[in-house]
Formats: sequence, structure tokens, C-alpha cells
Amino acid sequence: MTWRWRIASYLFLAGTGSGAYAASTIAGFFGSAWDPAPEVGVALGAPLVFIGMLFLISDLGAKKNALRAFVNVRTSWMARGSWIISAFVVLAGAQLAALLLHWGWPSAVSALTVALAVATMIYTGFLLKACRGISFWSTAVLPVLFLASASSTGVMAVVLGGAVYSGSLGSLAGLAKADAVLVIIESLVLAAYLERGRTLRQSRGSVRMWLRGSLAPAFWVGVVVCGLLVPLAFDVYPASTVLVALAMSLGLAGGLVLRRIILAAGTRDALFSISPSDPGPFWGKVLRGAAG
Amino acid sequence: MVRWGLAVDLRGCVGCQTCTMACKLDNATPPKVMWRNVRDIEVGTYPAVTRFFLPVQCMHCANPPCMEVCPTKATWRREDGVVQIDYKKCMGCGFCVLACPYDARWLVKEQTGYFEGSSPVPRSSRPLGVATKCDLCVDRIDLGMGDGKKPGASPDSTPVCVNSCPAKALVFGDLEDPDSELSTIVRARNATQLRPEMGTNPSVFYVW
Repeated sequence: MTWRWRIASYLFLAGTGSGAYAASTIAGFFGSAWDPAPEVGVALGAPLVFIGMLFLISDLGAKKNALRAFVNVRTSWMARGSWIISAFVVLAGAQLAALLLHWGWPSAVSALTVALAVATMIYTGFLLKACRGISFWSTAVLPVLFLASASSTGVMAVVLGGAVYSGSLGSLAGLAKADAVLVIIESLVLAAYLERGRTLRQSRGSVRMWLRGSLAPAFWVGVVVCGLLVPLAFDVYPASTVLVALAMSLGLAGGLVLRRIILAAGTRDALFSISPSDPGPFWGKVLRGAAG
Repeated sequence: MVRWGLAVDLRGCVGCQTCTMACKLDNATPPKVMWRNVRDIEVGTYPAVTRFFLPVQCMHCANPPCMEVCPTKATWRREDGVVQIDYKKCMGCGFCVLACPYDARWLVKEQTGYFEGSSPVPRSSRPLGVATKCDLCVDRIDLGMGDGKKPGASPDSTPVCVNSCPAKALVFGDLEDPDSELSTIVRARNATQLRPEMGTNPSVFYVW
């Protein structure tokens, strides 16, 4: 299909960056016990989403018209998303600058930025859902899955970033416990997504690609083992800082693979798809006529 | 008001792909870019298989999903129902290519031809990196209308695919005019549209 690694990278970085910002800032609202999570989230949020935007722009066929991405807010999720991620990058970027300069930052603005971060996490799901001719994407479960995955990879990025920055887990162990819950939620949403895809005739082939077909190694190894099981194990039993950091890195890679295989399995529904036993009046006439 | 449309007579189509070639030549589309083509459809499993030909193209929907998802407003619908792409506005994101349920759009990023070097067939002068698709030969429609010709009746003012069909399986005309040949066929032969459940209301009708 048209969208490959660059768009998968964009979806991953936008989700993870905004997820990191939202999760750590919300944790920070509950008190100082979560240090240094809020700072790590601010340090990661705007830069990751910005790099994601560069991937998005690099995929455009006519980059000179890139600013027109903002025009059709009335009906296009891509235009809406362009405003959302730009506003997020501006506000979270300003907050990062203030952090580096040791200036204060009003928590009201942080709250607004959290709202934009959550919108960033979700809208990419609506973006793909708008492709009504691709049944595998065209479901309300997809925005929920993107929100769940962005939350869990966001927290993983904060735990990894914090561990690298401070060299120890410290209060991040609490955040890792929260990540365990998020990974379980993501697994359930993923199961619901696959179940929904399996029950529809038009998307059954996409689910088969994941479970048993060409994407099965990426799904079972990349998403299930690296993206979910390994981080879950080390969230619950944080054996050592290094092992947790490695597990979080694998979890993040799993998040990227998840985006990539969602794109790869998004095949267009058959233009013409009827049941031979029940083709309906018009196509029944065609089949009878063609059979002679 | 005018709404240009097409009827495809599946009983007439012999799958010769002459319309495909006429379109490629007239619009100079690069290799693999098929603004229209004739699909070979098989239904059932051996030995109970039925086969027929299904010409497909941009359906010039009344509610085009491509226009809905386009962030730049490059895709727009003329008053006469023809869905168009403004190449000066398109940023080549490919969203419309994925959103079209009819597989009718192509993002052309490279200039390629069928032959090395100098080419006996024309190459497109369209900008690269933008979405492209069937434009229902609006240049012909508009020129012909300007000369007082009737689109659908005069070949000069009719899409090339329709002109090229040896079986007369394609009928072009005004869906809003109840007396046009097109409207008569659509009415009399219980025409259907592709994937009506999408709510797109295509201007391309199929009859048997």
C-alpha cells in the first residue's frame, strides 16, 4: 500500500511522544513522588512528535504544498491532525525551552497540552478509520487501540529515558507498574481489534496475514513478545535497571512494528465481492447471464 | 443542472481493454497507472465458476470519500459532477488513494515511460508527486460544449474510453436529463452502482 515505514514511524513517534508527555504530566499532577517523570516527559514529548512530523513531511509527493495540510479542517482528519500536532509541538516545545532555562511553567497550560497530547494519540486512529474501503482500518476500535498503544509506549519511553538519564529506576519503578496495567489494557484492545476484524468477511484476510500469514513473524515476535510480554514481565519484576531499560526498548520497537503491520495489512476490500450463493438480484442476473 | 455520468453494459463488454489503451494513450499515464481498466471477475469455486468483465474507473461520486479526506482541498467536485484534482494544491500525501473504495487513484512519484529514451507514445506533462485519476476527459467535454457540441452525442465532446469501445458497452451522458440515452438505460435496465453501501452515490452505473 501507499503508506509504509515512514508513515509507520510517524504514527509511532507521534503516539509515543504525546503518550510520554501525557502520562508523565498526569503523574506529575499527583505530586512529587513521580520525579523525574514529568521532566522526562517534557524532554521527550515535543522532540519525538517533531521528528515524527519530519517523517510525515518526507513522505509527501509534493512537499512545496505541505502547508496546505491545514486547509480542510471541516472534513479531513489529516487537516485536523495537522493542527493538533502542530499546537502540541509548539506548546510542549515552549515548555521544554522553559525547563532548560529553569523558568516556571503554568500548570493550566500543561493541562491544555495534555489535552492536545491525548488528541494526538487518538486522531491517527480516526485518520485510518476514514478509509472506509479498507475494512481492517474502518472501525472505532482502531482509535482506542492507538490510544492504548500510545499510552503504553509513552510510559515505556519515560521509564527508558529516566533510567538512562538518572542511571537508576528509583521512582520510575512505580511508573513501570502503571505500564504493566497499560500493557494489559492494550492487549485486550488488540484482541478486540482482531476479533472484530476476523468476524468481517472483508477484513478476515488481513487478520490471517497477522496470525498465520506473511506478517505472522512480525506480529508474534515483534508485537506480542517484544511489544507486550517482555515489557510486562520486567514492569512486574524490575530485575535491574539495565534489564528494564532493554525491555522498554523492545517494547518501543514492538510499538513501531504494530503501526507498520497495521498499515501493511490494510488491504482494500474487493471492489466486487458477492456471495456466490446469495448475490442479490442484480449480480444474480449478471452471473446467470454470464454463465450463459 | 448537469451531472455527467456513464453506463457500463456488462452484457456488451468483451474484456478487450481497448478503453484501457485509449485512456492510457490520450492521458499519457505512466506504466502501471490505470485510470481505468477492465477487471476479470471470477465468482464461485471450480467447477461452478462464472466469469465476466468489470470495467472500473473513478466513479465521480456525488459524495466522494477522496474529497472528504483531502486535507488540501485539491480534490473538488465541479457543478457538473466531475470530481477533479487541482495539481497546484495537492501535496501528495496519498490519503485519497487509500480512502477511495474503488481503487481509482494513483500517486505518481516518478516519471517513467514504456520505452527508453525517445518515446513513440506521449509522456505526461502533469506534475510529479501528486494524486492522479480519471478526469472524465473534461477537457473534451468543455471544448465540445464551447463549440456547441453535445457531450455523449458528438465523439469530439465525449470521453475517449466511450469513443473507443468496439462493443458500444459504454454510454456517456447527463444523468440529470431524464430524456438522455444514459438516463433511459439506467432507468429501464435497473442499473446498479459499485459498493452502494459506501454511501458514495457514484455517477458510473452498471447494467446487464
